[in-house]
Amino acid sequence: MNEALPFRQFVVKTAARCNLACDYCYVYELRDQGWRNRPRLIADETVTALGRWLRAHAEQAGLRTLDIVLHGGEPLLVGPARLDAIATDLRAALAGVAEPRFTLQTNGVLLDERCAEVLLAHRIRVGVSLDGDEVAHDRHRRGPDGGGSHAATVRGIELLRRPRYRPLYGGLLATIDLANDPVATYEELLAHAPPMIDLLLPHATWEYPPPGARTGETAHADWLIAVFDRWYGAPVRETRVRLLEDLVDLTLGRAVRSETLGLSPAGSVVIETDGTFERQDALKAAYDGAAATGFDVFRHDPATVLAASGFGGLGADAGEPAEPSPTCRRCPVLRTCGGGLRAHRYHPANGFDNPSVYCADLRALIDHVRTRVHADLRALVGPERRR
Amino acid sequence: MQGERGDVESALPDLDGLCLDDLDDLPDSVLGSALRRLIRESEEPSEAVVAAFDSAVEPAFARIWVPAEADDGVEESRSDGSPGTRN
Repeated sequence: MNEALPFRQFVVKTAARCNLACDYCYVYELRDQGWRNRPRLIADETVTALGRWLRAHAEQAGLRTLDIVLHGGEPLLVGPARLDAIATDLRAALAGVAEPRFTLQTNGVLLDERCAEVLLAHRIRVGVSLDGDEVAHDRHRRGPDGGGSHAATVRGIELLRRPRYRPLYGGLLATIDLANDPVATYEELLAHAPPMIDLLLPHATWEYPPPGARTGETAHADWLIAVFDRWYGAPVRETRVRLLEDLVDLTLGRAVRSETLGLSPAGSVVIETDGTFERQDALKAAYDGAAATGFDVFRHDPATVLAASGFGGLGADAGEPAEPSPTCRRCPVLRTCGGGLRAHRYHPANGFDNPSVYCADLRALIDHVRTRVHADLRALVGPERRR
Repeated sequence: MQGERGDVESALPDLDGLCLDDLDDLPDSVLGSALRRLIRESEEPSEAVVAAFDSAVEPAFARIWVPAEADDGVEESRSDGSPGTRN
């Protein structure tokens, strides 16, 4: 059983539905189908119960700040008035105990001025999902009618780039597609002047391998290495690229706040629209019910949830290994890799007790980053330079 | 990771003894930014690092202060921990 660390980040699903039908979405299109049985939108009484739960948790854990990620589905489906009410209620519930730090992840389609004013009033920083240019983006991110969403998403980003709303602009999240040129994708994202970019590996398991990947090749590493060399080689840092920045930091010996890399314990939990707690959201890519915990904000107090076996650790259920697989524990890059995102380790035969399905890619990428960083480090601050 | 106050103690020999005095000499590159984070962290160790949700903007950098008139520019924490103003 892992030591129960207090949760610091709460991924709150304000909507269990989406206005897009992206073909790679882990919530709807992969293994888990729990969304079908949940309320379309979070109810007032669920927000109230969640607020009580968060207050009790913050008090018991002595937390002065809580990170609340408004997520979905598409979280803006609640509309600006409800969004305002949700943020107001959660802030009021925590008053005098902890400060909520809100972020929101959206496809950007519903971002308008009325919505942005609510986001501004509550200091809700926004991440937008954008996969690249119109062709790249609309290959996957389409509406239910099959139409692309790129134009609407870019309109939302442009709104966030206005001086008034610029503080809200948190960054862009792109899911990697091998069909897209890596450097062109990076430069397309960069053209939107994001304070941060993150590049997400498409969710895959040993049962459902990465799209476009072939045995013996490290196509996703090759793609990311091309971006790394472009980003890292710029004389002045152009923006943050979280995945790659984490790799540099890990190479230098820092711990990072990543689910994908490193060995930091889990600090995040998901609250669905019905008030149930779920583990790491990406587990929905593994099998139906993989993220379920059996706990909810109505019936289970923080001490109960936290004390549950492994719940606060690496996300392990009873009987599931909490550690990376034996193969990973023998690997010289384990401290950097961490065994990869938990969902990516899944095989129906033995659950999560495997290296990541991206193991070869992660190793190739890590080796490349290490080689470049070590060489540059010596030139920049090595003992000979400083003597 | 922390040795004497302000000095980085690292498994990487090149980083041993790196301190705040070195900040001004670092370039504005990706590596320079990473070294600034490392040095500042050795000076002011932060709370325990836990993994956060990947499909969201990073909460560690969500501390924004929105003035009454945002058009005048907004102070925010930079990723390397230093204060900054973004327009």
